[in-house]
Amino acid sequence: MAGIPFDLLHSQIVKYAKEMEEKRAEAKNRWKEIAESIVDSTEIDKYDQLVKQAFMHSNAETQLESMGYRVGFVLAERLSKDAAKFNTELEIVKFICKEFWSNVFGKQVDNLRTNHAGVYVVQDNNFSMLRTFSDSTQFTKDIGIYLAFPSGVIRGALACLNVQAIVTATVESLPVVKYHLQLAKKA
Amino acid sequence: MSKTTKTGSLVDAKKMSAELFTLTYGAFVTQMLKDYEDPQVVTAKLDKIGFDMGTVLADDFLAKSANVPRCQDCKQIAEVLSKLAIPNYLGVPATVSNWSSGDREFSLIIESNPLTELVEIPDHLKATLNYSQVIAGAIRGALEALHFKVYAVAVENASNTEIRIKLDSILKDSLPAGEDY
Repeated sequence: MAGIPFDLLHSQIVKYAKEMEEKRAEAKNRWKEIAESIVDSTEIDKYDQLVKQAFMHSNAETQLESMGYRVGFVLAERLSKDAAKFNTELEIVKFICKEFWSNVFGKQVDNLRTNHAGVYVVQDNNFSMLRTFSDSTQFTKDIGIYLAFPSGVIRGALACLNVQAIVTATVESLPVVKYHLQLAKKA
Repeated sequence: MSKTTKTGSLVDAKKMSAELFTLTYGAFVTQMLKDYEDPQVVTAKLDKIGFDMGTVLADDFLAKSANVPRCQDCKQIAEVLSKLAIPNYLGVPATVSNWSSGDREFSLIIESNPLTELVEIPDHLKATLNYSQVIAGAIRGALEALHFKVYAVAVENASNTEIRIKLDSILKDSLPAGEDY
């Protein structure tokens, strides 16, 4: 269920997000043309749908990330309900790297480092959501968009445990993925 | 290509939670409803997405189950779908029922559909959105890859999901002119 079907679903979602981005760009261009020719302001109502699409400011990555956020938030909620209370930020990050990671991505992370100032680097030497790509540097340029969804998942999970963070991913050579978690300072 | 180096590695696909799939699918459908606003368009999109997934799944299925004989009729298709393909990819069994139009039409009943776990479909969408249409689309795609043209539609019942399948025709191999096998 979560193996091949998930990979296929994920790639369909990525494809969908790309298509939607194109559609929005197209709407923007069309609106530009129309906006210049309109003289009567009442005419604008006719293009309600187009205007809505043209002014939606989100690209494919943002859309994927926000979908991942929802998923990660709910998953973390379900997985953490029986966990012991977290006392420190590090405990939360450890929970994400162990229990959460192995439940969602099928294994634990391989390396976790921190500068003890809110920045964590998580390394997964065999990241499950990219297993459909061959191990090489061949696709590293195109792979960014496939990392948007999992990054959102991680950010959502952290948010669920009351940690606001910026999550970015880097790939040098597949299947190794490094996640940088930059946690917000507690006020 | 690199798959051989990956086998035996730490990634165990089975261990990845089925909830991940369910929630991801849910988030996706929600996003589509936001983008398109018309639930019927979303249902059609889900069918197309399922179709694309199905064609790949058919490949995977054939690669992994070498001893499944070629289906000759609808009964056999129903058997393979309910006993092998659906448990394999959806993780739950399905039962076959409601045969009609001379054994060319049947229903697959999925009792505890994992897609609808954790999901509550709002009342105003119930009539127009076929939430599990992706399964029907996948079946259509997979069978079309095996040269069976079918129509499939997913219906949400109170306690289960019903996939209604109708065999339309068996597609003929159309080889390019001048090629013999």
